[in-house]
Amino acid sequence: MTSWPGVRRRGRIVQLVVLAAVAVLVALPTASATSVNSPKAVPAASLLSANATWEGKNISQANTQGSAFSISANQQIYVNFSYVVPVGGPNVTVARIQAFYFGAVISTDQVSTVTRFVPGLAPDVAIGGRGSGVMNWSLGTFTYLLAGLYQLTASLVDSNGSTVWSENFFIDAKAVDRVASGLIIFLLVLGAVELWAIATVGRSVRKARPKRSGPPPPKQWEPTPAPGAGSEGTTPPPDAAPAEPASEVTP
Amino acid sequence: MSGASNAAGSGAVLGAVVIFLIQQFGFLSLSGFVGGLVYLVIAVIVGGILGGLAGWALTRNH
Repeated sequence: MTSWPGVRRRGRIVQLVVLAAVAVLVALPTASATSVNSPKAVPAASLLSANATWEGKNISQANTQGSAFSISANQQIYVNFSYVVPVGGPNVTVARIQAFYFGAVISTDQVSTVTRFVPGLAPDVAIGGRGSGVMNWSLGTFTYLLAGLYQLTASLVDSNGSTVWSENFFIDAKAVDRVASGLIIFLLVLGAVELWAIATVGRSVRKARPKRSGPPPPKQWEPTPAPGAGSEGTTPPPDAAPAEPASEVTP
Repeated sequence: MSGASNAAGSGAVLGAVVIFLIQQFGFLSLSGFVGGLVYLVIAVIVGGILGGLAGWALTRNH
């Protein structure tokens, strides 16, 4: 029969495995998650200037966790990239937004940009071109699973695939329609189960241990047969009361 | 397995749950690999210690 602690230990292992599986599932939703570490912001060294707006607000306003943009998890966000390329600068082709969780990319949205090259208006104005890209960004297929604080990276990529500009910012995705997301529900249930397990640990230990028994009852004296004596030969203990003589029954 | 170690295991799981919940409620970002892992490991260790202490306190008279 399986003991109660054994069942609990196995249950705990199952819970840990489930928790790890959920974390992995959340962290690996995109097959294109090639990045293991969140990229650092790339300074706009080869661009004259670049910026991105999130529903009209510059993303640099949300560069800390405390100033994260608050959105609904299923909301579509209008993101506008704009940049100015110097003469001989990179050929920007793609604007991209990526969301990260434990260093893995969980969401990637990208659009092609359009660059209009402008000849130098004057000899001292070395403007190569202006470009822009417009994106309707959303958390994607995991809308009902994901809520919470996430770091996003907005970047501009040139035709060689190199990132020529990037900036990190934060969003706080609220659960859809004020209903807790799937992960929150799972975590709350798991937390309640573990709290209950800790609160009742004393009871489970009592159940698992055998009842503490008192000292064994004194054994009744049993006659020991004398060596070589027959079955009728008995030796009474020295402190035993003398046996009553068998009364003769007279008819 | 003693009650204290049972409760320590529960506390460790609870610590991880709390970290994930804090992230889900928007108070902590787990986007970075190293940063997220550090938060998680610390929470698991602290939860395990607190759970073990609670388990020891609850079972010491049994």
